Amino acid sequence: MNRHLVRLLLTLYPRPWRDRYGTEVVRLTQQLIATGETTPTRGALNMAGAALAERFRALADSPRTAVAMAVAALLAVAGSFYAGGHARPQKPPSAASAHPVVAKLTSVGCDFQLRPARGVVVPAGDTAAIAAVETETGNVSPVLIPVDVTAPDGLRPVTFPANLKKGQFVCVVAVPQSAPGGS
Amino acid sequence: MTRDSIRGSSDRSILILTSLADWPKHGYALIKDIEEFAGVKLGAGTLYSALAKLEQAGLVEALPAEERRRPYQITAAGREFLYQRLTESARIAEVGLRRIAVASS
Repeated sequence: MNRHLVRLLLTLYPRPWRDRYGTEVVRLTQQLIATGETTPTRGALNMAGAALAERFRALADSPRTAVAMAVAALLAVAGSFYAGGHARPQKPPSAASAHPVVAKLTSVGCDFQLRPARGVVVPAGDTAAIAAVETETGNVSPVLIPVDVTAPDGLRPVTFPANLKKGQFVCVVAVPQSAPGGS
Repeated sequence: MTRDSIRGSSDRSILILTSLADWPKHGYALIKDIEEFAGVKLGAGTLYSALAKLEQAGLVEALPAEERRRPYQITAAGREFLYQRLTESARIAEVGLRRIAVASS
């Protein structure tokens, strides 16, 4: 890979990532090309793909993005209450839409902090169960995710109840794992 | 869904932690080792994305660079995490293999 392409590929990464790992990833890519383990095209595509993934991750982790998403959620909730004030024949509510606040927050609340954590699953909209989990675990960060979203790295795999359907929502409470060797 | 498509980033993390379970390795050694024991060839970008996540999670840590290459080693938390994940996988594998054997007998 020529120097210009390398520089271009590196600019695709978020700056903190580039500063920390940029030299290493370029050196390894060049080593893989030199030893015939990969081609320059494949090497460049792999770097570009990884850079985009890092960009998305950085965006999701950004506090500014989180605030914007929270504001959007509040607007969406306010909008749904406003729209609900105009009486119209309604279909029977689904498990998710029966709890609009939960459903709306779910769509923007996937702000996972990457760390070893335990996932606790309770049925969608079951506020009593969510409250019970929060009470039991103390200082927790409730994270609401749709059923069809896979638990990210750093979270233990979550087994969703079999009776939940795609589109319904569950609450996963991420609890920092106890010290290694602990329970 | 292809066989490869079910290999998520979580699997990559497990592969890296498994590779680091015996001793520290730098990027190239990690790629070669994983290819050898798992038949999975990671690209440099993919490897460092996963390494960055693992480091951020405190499951691996970087050692001082030697000959311009920086080795990584698994932490105690990483070892514990890997142990738990592999134990779960082994349990599932055992059940699956037993059921296959029963079904084909």
